[in-house]
Amino acid sequence: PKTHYKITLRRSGISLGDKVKGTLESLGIHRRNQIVFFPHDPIVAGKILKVKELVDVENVAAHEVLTKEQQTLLRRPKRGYTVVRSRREVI
Amino acid sequence: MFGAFRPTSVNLGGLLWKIPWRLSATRKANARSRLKKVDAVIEAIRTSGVQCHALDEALALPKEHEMHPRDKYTVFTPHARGYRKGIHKVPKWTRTTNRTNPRGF
Repeated sequence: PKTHYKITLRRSGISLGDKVKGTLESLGIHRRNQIVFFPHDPIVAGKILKVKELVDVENVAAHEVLTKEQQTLLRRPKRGYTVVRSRREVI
Repeated sequence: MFGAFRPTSVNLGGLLWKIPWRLSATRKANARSRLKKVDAVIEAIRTSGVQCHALDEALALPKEHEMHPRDKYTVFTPHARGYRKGIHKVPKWTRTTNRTNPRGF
């Protein structure tokens, strides 16, 4: 069951006025292509509809929700090696 | 000549911005795809099952395939003959909703 909105900002709110910029701020979006997740709620739905021309919305399940730290780790490239043994525990 | 502006011959140094009176086929295609993206956002909110006044208003808007081309590429103006002007002359037209016009125009 899809319980969350996945909101991606595609167009910026520059020069669209304080109401639109305030709505984006209240959604926690600060830059273009940033992704935020919110549970389904009429208040959030109203905010999305205020900025519907700027935003991409997808309905996702709860297990697909990513926090900011998880999104950062997904963007990070893999190390290309694995640590087999380390003296870190000895120290 | 220098920068984005070309001097007009009349003013010999005045600035001129040329804006075509109608949209090209490319711009019309891009406008249609933007309308479809907004339709997709409204559809996503509708399938989520919430109920709110903003959604009722958004569902009252015509979808892109229901709109007459006149509504997609022009907008009402009381000042021009024909009471219509190109939608590209509306500020921020690529980021605002301008789907409906007064009845009869």
